[in-house]
Amino acid sequence: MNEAVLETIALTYRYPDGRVALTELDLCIRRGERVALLGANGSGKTTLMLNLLGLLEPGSGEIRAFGESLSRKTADLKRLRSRVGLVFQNPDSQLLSASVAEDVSFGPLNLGLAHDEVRQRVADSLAAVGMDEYAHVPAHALSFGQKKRVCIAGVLAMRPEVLLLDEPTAGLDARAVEELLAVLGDLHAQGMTVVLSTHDIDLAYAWADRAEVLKRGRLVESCEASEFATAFPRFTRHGLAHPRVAEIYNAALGAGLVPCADVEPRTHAELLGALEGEPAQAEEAS
Amino acid sequence: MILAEQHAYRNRWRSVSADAKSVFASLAFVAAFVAHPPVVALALAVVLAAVTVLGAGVPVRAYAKVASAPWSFVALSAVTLAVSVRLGSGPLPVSLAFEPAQVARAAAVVARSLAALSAMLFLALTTPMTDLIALLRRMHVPATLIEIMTLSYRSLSVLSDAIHDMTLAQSARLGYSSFANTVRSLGTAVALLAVETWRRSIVMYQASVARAGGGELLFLESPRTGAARELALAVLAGAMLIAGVVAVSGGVR
Repeated sequence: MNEAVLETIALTYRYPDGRVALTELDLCIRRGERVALLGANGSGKTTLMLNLLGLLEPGSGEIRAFGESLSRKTADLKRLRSRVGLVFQNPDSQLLSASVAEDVSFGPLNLGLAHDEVRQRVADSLAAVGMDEYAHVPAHALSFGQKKRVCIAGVLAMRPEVLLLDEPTAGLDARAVEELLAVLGDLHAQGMTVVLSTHDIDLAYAWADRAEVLKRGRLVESCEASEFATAFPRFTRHGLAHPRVAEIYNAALGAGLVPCADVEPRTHAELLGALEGEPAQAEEAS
Repeated sequence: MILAEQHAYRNRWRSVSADAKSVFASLAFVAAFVAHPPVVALALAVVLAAVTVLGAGVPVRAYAKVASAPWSFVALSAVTLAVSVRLGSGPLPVSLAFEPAQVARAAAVVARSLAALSAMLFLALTTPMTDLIALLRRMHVPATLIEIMTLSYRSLSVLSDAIHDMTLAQSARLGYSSFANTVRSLGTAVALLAVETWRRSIVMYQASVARAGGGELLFLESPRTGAARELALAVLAGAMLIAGVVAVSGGVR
C-alpha cells in the first residue's frame, strides 16, 4: 500500500457561528489513489478540502500532510499548497485575471519560479487540459466547462502531487464531463493523486479507487473499488442514489440476461459489454 | 460582453502590439491639443474615426453606438458652455443668451474634446483591456494600481453576469412591471449584489491563497510581439498626424 499523502485524525471544524461542520473525521488519502468524496450538499465536502489545504483552521484534531503534522507557518503552508492543488467549485471565484495565460501564471509565480520556467509551465498546463488555443481569449468569453479547465491548468502549473477538485462536474454538460474525466485520467496515469468531491454516484462508482461518504460532517462509509458492488447499495441510507449501472446489472442478472461475472461492470461501457457477452475488465474505469 | 470589448477582441488590428497602438493613440492625443482652430480639431477627430473604422475594421454602427454616450456628454457640456443665463436684463426675469466669445470658446473645447475622444476610442476599440493592463505592467506602473485594475476588470464581467441573472429572475416574476415594483426590485438587487460581492471576495481570496498567493498578485508579463516594426510605424503615423495638424493649423490661422 502506498504512503499516505494527506491524513486527518479526529478532525473537528466549527463554522465561525458555532455550527459543527466536521466531526471527528478520520480520513487517509494515499499516493496515486483516485478518491471520490461523496455526500449531499452541506455534508462538509468543501469545508474538508479547505481544511486539508490549511485555508481553514480546525477546532481540534490533526491534519497530516506527506507524513508531517500540518504547520501553520507561512512558508510551510506555501510549500503544502505547492504540493496539493485545489480546484474550486465555481471557476469564477478562482480566475483572478481576465487573461487566461496570466491567470495560469499566478500560482507558479507565487512559487518564485523564473519567468521562462513559468512561461513553459503555462503552455504545458494549458496543453494538458486542451486549452492551449485559448491562452489569449478573455476568461469571460469562455464557456463554463472551459473556465473549469483553465482553473485546473492554473493548479497544474504548480506541479502538485495531489489534486483536490471540489464538485468538478457540477454544471458541466455530458461532453464536458467526459473531457474532464479524460484530463483526470491522464493525470492519474502520470502518478497524480486525485481527490474529487461529488454527489454524482454514477461518476464515483465508475471512476474511483476508493469512495468515502460524508454525512453531516461525519465520515460514515469508506470502501475500496473491489467492495463497491456490495457497499454502494448501503449508501442509499445516507441520501445517495443507487448507481444506475449496478442497478441495471443486478436486474439483468436476476432476469438471467447476463452470466454472473467475477468483476461487476462499473461503467456504462462495461455494462453494455456484459450485456453483449464480453467480460468486464478490472482496471478499466474511465 | 460590453460592445467596445467585443470589437477590441475582434477587430483587424487585434494582433498589432498594444505598445504600437497606445503610442499612436497618445500621439493622436497630443495632436488633439496642438490642433488650434476648431475646424482642424474636428477634421482630426474625423480622421481618427476613419482610421478606427476603415483601418481596424470596426463597423460604423458599432463605433457610433459606443461613441454616442461620450458624444452626448460633450454635447451637453457644449450647451452649458455656450449659453449664459441672465437674470433680469430682458423682458423676462430670466433669459438665455449666446455670447460670441463664449460660443467660440465652446466650439474650441468641443472640437478638442471630440478629437481627444476619437484618439481614446481608437485605443479602446482596437486593444483589449487585458493587453492594456499587460502593457502597463511592462511599464512598471505601481503594482497596487495594476492589481486593482486586474481584479476590477475580472470582477466587472463576473458581477455584471450576477446582476444580469438577478434582474432577469426578478423580471420573470414581474419585478419591473410598475414604477413601485421597479424601485423595490432594484433596491433588492443592489443589496443582494453587495452581499454577493462580499461573499465572492472571500472565496476569491481563499482561491488565491490556495495557489500560494495572498500577498502581491503576481502575473506573468506577456512578451512584446513584433513590436519594433509596428512601433516604428505607429510613431511615424503619429508624428505625421501632429505635423499635419501643426501645418494645417498655421494655414487656417
